[in-house]
Amino acid sequence: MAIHHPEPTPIPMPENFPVSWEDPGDSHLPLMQDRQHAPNPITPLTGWLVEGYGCDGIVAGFAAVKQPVKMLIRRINTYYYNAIVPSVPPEKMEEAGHEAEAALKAAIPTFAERWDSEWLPEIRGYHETWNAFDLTAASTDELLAHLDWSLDTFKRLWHIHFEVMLPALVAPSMFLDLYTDLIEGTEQMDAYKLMQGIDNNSLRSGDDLWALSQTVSNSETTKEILANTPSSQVMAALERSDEGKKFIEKINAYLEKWGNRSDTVIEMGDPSWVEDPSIMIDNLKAYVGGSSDNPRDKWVELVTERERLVSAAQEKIAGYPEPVKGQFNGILAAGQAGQRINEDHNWWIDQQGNHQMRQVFLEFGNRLVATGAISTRDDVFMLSGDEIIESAKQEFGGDHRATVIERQTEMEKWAKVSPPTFIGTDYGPPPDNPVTRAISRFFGLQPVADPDVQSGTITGFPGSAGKVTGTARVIIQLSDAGKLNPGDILVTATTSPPWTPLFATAGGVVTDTGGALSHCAIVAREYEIPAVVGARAATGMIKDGDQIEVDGDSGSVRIL
Amino acid sequence: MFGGKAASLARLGSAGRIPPGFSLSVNEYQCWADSGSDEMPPQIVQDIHRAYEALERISGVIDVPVAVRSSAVDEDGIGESFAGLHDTFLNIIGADRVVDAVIRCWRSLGNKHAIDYRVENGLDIESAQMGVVVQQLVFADISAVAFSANPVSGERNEVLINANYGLGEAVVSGLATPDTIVINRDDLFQQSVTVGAKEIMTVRTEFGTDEKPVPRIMQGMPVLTEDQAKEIAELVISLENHNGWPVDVECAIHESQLYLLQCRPITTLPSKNTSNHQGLHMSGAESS
Repeated sequence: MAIHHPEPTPIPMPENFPVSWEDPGDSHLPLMQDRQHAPNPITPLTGWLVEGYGCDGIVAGFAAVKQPVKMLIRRINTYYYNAIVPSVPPEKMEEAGHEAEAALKAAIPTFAERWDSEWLPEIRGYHETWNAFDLTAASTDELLAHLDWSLDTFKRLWHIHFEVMLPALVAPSMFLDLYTDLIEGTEQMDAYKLMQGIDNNSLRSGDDLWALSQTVSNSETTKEILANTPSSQVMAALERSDEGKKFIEKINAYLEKWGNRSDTVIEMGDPSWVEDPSIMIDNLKAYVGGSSDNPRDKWVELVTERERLVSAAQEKIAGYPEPVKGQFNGILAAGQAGQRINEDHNWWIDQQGNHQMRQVFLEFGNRLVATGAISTRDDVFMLSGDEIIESAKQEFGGDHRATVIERQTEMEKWAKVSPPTFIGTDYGPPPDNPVTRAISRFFGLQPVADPDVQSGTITGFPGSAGKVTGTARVIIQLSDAGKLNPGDILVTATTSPPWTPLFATAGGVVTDTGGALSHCAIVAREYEIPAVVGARAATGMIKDGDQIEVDGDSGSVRIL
Repeated sequence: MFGGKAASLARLGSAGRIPPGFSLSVNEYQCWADSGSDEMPPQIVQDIHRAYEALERISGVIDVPVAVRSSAVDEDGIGESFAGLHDTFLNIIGADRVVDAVIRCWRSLGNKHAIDYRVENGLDIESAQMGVVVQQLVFADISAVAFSANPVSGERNEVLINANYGLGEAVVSGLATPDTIVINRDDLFQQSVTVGAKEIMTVRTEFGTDEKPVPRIMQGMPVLTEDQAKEIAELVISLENHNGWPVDVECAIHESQLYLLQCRPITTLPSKNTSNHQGLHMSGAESS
């Protein structure tokens, strides 16, 4: 039951999660832990970056589409929280709401074209600049200037992110409403079928990996190494033979194209695949060891089915007024583009943007190690940006080693606690409008039934249609993906786009977080595997090795 | 002799935005009523077939879909309007179905609401007769009912427009809350736009029409652009000037073209004096 709070209500803190507010005003914020993007504690440096430059960019993005809200990001007890709050006084909210609706309406027919012709080329330009900059050769001043530019560019990336993603998220969400309103007897899951079979970078990176896996059988040596060597030692083993070296070239070509990512999308502390290809090799091994079916064999069917359903719907509304038919065609096209850009923006902004910032900070890390200010390069992520800059300006002086240990200990401590989803102040449910509806469908914020412990049933949201039974593999980090065998059910807190290759191996997916418009649900539909998303208790209740039944139509999971 | 609505439309023929059509006079009604049978007399069946074929030629459309509307002799007369009281049949295809629809129109003379209306307005029930207008159906993207004076406030200086998506039925019948636009007659400035709930819209089906919910995302959108509303206002003002009495107009927009479907006097205007339009007199209208 939705409870409406006429008055803001402070949210009681769980005993295991006491918060001492850095700014007492923050206790009045409606803070939500974004488990979909950052399920684990984030490093201080990541927190510093997203609280400041990332958040400033997001606020600029909201403003660009005239939304009367702003976002605040806080790293609380090492976890990533954000709050969306009004940016105009209450008496101006109604007028601002109309302006916001008009701005969004104007953005919906244009965002895809602007992404392709305007924003993507701009972003490619930034990556070229980043890639061309010789970090090790730069003087301290040059490096600091490059950091300045990088921070501004990071902010700009997040501005673009929200300017494109608001309409890109609202459009598919609006199409769900439009389709189920117009075509009697249909449900939202049916509407997704009209937005499927649209290529995106998550799928393309999976395709390329599958193509790479198909060349393994050309060489017995390579095949043998991939089958019997732990992922972390595969590269070294391949180096020892000519055939292996040839295969390394292919791996490097893949990493050149798709390696600027780690398994998380907010955290900078995790190595990118170009630095440590173990995760990519895990995926490769799963492809080689599994069935040799191309995960996208059914692609043509998806496209055919989409086209059939679109024609059938258009025929059904043939006698409808032109403005209605126009809306149907316009919102459908925008919805399809929105699904594509939901994945593509993540690759160009979230994943590669993070990778670039990481590379810059790692260079500071190297120099701080050289002066003895920190012990290892990656300790740099335990500092704030201000501390790093300050130190750099004093020839990388100071001694941060104690601070690093203290903060590492803090992260380890909080990693053992599961943080409350909502903290601060509860203002009741947000007003119902196209934007809040889209955000709910992305994050999976609608209420769900509590899990039924007796029958072992966990309720979430339908993410991708179909029913499947299999062995549960609870995988919290991509580095544990090796234990996923073909047909197993992937059970996890969240899946960001770098997890895509696993969808070709998995028989089904269950996540704690996300809604039907989340990355996970989009990719599961494209791979045609059943998925239940936002099943909050899933990783808490399901144990590794359990037999479970996933019903992607009803959005429920049953432990057998 | 034509019924009131047909006569009113004939006077408007020169406006050039009226869909082509034909009408059945009260003579044909009398002939059917006198026959004592519910069946259409063969001669009239033949006439309707011939007229329908002519309409196919004029419109250039085989099996041209039409609207069949009642037109009682005292309906659309100056004193009473009968607006929406008799039946209207939309998207009728084929001469035989037109014949059926005409009979159903004639029968609607006995419609309870229509009888009540006659009683209330002191009109003769026994001698009531009905003509029927058959017009090529405009595939309305938007339908509107517009008044050259504000029928709610009685304000003569305001044009009031009700509009919804689709065919006119949902607007005329009051089945859905349409958008309401009030326009100042002098400068055509929009004084207010109230976006209605637009619960349903009338859409075409294979042989007829159906009421369907307006998609939620479109319920909150204004149906008419400012230019479209202005065009409708100009039309009703020119019709009032032409006729000499305030008008109640049904119109439709299809592929950006505005069509006039009906024009009748506003008979229920609350008396409210405004100095701007002294040339208009309800009494004058009643006396003609």
